[in-house]
Amino acid sequence: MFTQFSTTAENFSKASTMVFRIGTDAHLYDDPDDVSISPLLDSKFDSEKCEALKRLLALIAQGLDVSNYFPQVVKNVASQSLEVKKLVYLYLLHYAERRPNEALLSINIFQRDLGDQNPLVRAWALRTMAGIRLHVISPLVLVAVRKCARDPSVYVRKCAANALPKLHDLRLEENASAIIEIIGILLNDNSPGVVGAAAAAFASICPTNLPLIGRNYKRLCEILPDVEEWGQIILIGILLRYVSARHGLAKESIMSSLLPNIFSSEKSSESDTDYFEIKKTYEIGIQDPELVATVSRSYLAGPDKQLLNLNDSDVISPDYISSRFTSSKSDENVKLLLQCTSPLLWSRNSAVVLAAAGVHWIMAPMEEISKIVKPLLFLLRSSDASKYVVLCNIQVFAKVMPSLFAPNVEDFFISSSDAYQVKALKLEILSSIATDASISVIFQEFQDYVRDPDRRFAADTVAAIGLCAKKNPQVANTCVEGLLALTSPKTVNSTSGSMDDEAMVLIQAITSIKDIVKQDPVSHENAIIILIRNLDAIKVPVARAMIVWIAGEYNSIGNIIPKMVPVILRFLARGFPSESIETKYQILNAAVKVLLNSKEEDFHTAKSILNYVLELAKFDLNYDVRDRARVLRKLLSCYFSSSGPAEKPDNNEIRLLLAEHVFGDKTKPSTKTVNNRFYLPGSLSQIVFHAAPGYEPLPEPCSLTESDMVKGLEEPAQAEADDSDIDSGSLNEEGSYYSEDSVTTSTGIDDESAASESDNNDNNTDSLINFSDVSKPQEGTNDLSELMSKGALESWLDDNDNDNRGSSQNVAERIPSARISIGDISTRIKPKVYTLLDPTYGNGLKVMYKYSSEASTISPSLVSVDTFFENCSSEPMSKLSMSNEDSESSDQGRYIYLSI
Amino acid sequence: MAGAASALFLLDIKGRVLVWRDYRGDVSALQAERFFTKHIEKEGDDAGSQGPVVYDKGVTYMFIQHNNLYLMTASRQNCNAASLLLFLHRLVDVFKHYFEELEEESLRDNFVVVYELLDEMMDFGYPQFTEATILSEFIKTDAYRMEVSQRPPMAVTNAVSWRSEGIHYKKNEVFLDVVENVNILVNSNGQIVRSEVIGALKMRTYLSGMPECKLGLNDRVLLEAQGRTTKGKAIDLDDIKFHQCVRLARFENDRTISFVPPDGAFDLMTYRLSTQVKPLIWVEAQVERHSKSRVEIMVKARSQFKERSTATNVEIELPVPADAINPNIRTSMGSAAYAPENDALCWKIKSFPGGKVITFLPYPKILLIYQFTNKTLIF
Repeated sequence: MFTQFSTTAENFSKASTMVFRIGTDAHLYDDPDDVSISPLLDSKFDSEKCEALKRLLALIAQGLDVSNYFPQVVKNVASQSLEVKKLVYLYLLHYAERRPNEALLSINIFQRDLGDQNPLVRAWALRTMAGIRLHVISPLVLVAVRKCARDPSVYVRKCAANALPKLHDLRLEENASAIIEIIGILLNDNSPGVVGAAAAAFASICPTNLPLIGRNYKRLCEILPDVEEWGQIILIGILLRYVSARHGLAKESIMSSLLPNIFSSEKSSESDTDYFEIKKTYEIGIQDPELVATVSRSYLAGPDKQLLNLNDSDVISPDYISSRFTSSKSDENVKLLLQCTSPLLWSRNSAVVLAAAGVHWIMAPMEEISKIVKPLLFLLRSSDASKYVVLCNIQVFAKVMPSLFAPNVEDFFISSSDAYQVKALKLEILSSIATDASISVIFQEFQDYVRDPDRRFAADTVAAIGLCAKKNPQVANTCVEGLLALTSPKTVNSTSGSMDDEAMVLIQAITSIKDIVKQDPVSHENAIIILIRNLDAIKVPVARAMIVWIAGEYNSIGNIIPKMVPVILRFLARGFPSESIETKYQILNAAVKVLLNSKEEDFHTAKSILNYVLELAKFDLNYDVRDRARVLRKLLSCYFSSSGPAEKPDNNEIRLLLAEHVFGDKTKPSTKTVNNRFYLPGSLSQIVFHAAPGYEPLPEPCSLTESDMVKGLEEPAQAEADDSDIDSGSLNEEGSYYSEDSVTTSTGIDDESAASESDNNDNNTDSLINFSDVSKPQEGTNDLSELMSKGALESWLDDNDNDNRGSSQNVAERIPSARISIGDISTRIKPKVYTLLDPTYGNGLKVMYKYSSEASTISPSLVSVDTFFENCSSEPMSKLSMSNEDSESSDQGRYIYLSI
Repeated sequence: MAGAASALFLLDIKGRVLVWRDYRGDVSALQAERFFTKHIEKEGDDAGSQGPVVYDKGVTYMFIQHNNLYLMTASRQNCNAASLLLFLHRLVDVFKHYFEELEEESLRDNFVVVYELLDEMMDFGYPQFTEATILSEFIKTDAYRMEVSQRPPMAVTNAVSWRSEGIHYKKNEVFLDVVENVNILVNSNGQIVRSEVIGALKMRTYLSGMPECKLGLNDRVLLEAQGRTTKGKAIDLDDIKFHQCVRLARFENDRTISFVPPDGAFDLMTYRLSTQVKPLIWVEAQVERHSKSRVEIMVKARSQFKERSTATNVEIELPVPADAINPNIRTSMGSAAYAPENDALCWKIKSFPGGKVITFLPYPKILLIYQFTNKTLIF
């Protein structure tokens, strides 16, 4: 090559060599268009082209549209210089979608590059080609990927694996089977790096095609520690799914809470000791079995199914559920998974640790879960952001199994440098893991937190104190004392600074007291008295309202309160107009409650107070207060009738009963909403508390049977077909085929001429049936009955296709056959109803049909069709006959006659 | 299940996109920028109201801050939050390796390399190579590029992804440093609530070929397994993290730390020991309120190590209310300054000899009337 430098570029490059490692592209970034770019692009010098491309990149980065340079840039793809190539690729990826026609011009060069000696060039070409999101070129990309999947260079194979999700993203159903096939090849790769990338492809393309994993399960487990860290995270998730689908959940793990036998005293006879053992381990550290069951259930079911399942779980027979469980101690596969993930708990990648911990959490025997504690706590020493994520996950673990983290209380103590979210999470964890032994230490910490300048955090602390007291009733008294100190007028009055923040703490303190008192009002009489005494000094409306509520609610407890409350009420009634709205409501309520509870001697006082308050409320500015007053007056009209009964009226009056029911009840909506949604550990959904798109719960345990394994191996397209929508299915002449517009063809095991085959595959595109070779028919016949019994729609026919040559190398004497299947699609989608006869053509008769998910009872080769007749006309119909005759179909002709 | 990031953004402190790389084409730069500027505004009102993971209109954003930059990923799927956040941190590490300091200016200077790196480190939203040493073998900065012709990436084609083949040194050397950090949490009564040591074994290897290294530690489990007596010198190795190169399965089986080291410097392992540690420097503070707007703080720092050793570059940060102004500071040693951006007074001591007590007396005036809350909880 002749001189590389043009005069302009020479100075520039010299300058850049002087500054070691620090780039000098800033001037390009800051004013990218100070020279005209077009001539530079057409320059014959690479360095000038580079500069032009850099300027273009800078413009892209700054959000400008420079797609008008596209033709000129594409031309440069042919450049020999890697640097120019790379920059062109970057540009191309950005604009190819918008300029599809020009982008096609580059394809030839890509294909040439794919044959380059330098693996780097091959890989980059493949990556860019796959990154161009154009449907037109996808067959070419598929060919390229197929070729690169066998490349000698690991780097290229890895790129091939990464290209697969890109292809899949274009939603080309006819390629699905080919893509899945390549995934299978790459999962089998020797290099751990490739396996990691293939796992990512698997997870994004066909996460339900678990048989593909089953084939390699042992090897994947063994290779797991060597896979690069990002691949590990994904692979762990896949393996967990596979084991749970194939072998079921471990009955020693927390998921065993789904086993109904644990809660019921009766034990199944044969596994008596077994269950006893479980029961024992179960009691190790779980306080709230309901919660555990909810968590385990939500791991299995998505958020939409969760509600259904709450009821369903009672219906399903215990045997059914128990059959879904395996033992993590005896089952080899579960053991292997736990074994190969446990060293990953020492990984320096926090996401890997979290993923491995998730597997142990779900699968490991309960007494061994403690293994994950220390690694998880170590993660708390990392950056703030990951601290937050880890705490989100620990929070769930700690709620379910407080004993796990109970010895490590100190690790959750808050330091002043924590972010607010981290502090809040730590508080929540602390309040759930507090035990009798640690509570005093925790409270000591809480005392400091309450003094924190961040009042929001202080309020959270107060709430946490309330929670702790509820959980450990023996400390309730000390808690209430401490909280009362917070509400005492002395401290409240001295508050002159940020009013709102202090109010927040005060409100929270009173809420906490209220919650504690509610549990056992009698023993907290003193607290109520103090609160009522402080009422005068507390000015925050919400807090006041709450105290009035407490006063009203517990007006008959002990000896002192009944005497105090009327006095307080009288005082409140006098100031009624100046109170805030919520306090007014509570004053009204309290007055009614006092009246209802009043004894003979106080009755008149109570009545006159209520009467007075109601009068005031009648003329209140707020319409709601006025309405309430009116309702109350009507409700209690017996007290206020014109004559006015001097005595307490009989309790029999219906309205009085109603009033008593409304006010005497202890119903008070709790301010805390319990978050009952749980997602798999490590998932994003667990952090944002809603199922993010693409969130998948664990597969149904043991849903993957032996026959599925076989089937899955032969029908890689299966999973794909399940996902594709099937709304445009049309009834073909036989009426027994389930047809889809998306046709997936599989050529069995790939042979060397794979690349040339893509054209061949296209021959089948217009057939409406999902073909797949069955290379092991002897096993296939076995599973037929099973599939039928499961209600899958299956039918077999002779294979007259020439497509089976791919797998012919397998078994010479095998019977060529193909299978048409829609798997268990019926469980996933609502069967679509098709119109057979429109009322306008059928003299007012409307006929609809749909495929029933049940297999025919007469013969497995029959298909059930539900037909619906509807008479849309006004006249009755007679002599309807329906026949379905077919002529062409070779093997089974079936006739349905229907006469009415 | 395993979702991937849709796009990656590098934003400046005001939330303007500096560089962005689109991986899946379902989140646009405009959308992200709009979200982020809004987010920053919100943050201003209500500091730290949201975590590093924010969901907005179907897109989940995850971001971290570094110097005057935000690094953010956007995703429309259920992705692994921990892994993406960690990836952002790795990104920072790699950029630092390339540009020495990662800030807005260095990004501008190197935006082309940044693009290349982003291309190599993440493919279609899945993290790829994140080892700076490996990446620098085939992504060169300009200065290199002119001299060295591009080689195929040796390391990435190896089974060992962190080391290239064909490394040769005349003199084979290994350096091992142990760096320990002590974390101590003290409650307001001056009691040590928790103390722990976080240590790292930092290695620097200059070895030829593909060396297989082994590291022996006085690990109690190992020693006991070998039937040797543990004379109080053994340590419990249970809370550890290893570099990727350590064969974890092997460690699990027979507690040997064996590895093929990467070339150059790396952290072989980090460990955590929860032991009682006497704090090296004990700091006590007394707060006295003179009036509603004046506070006197007296800080005493006592060094508790041997007299013949000295601590250098000691920094003591003293948080003060956000509305404090005009601190009047006297120190018996070192210099102190008010750092309003951290709401703290920073006291720096160049060298702090052992067994000494020094004091620090700031009188910050407080602009708004601030409460050093005098509420106490009595249990």
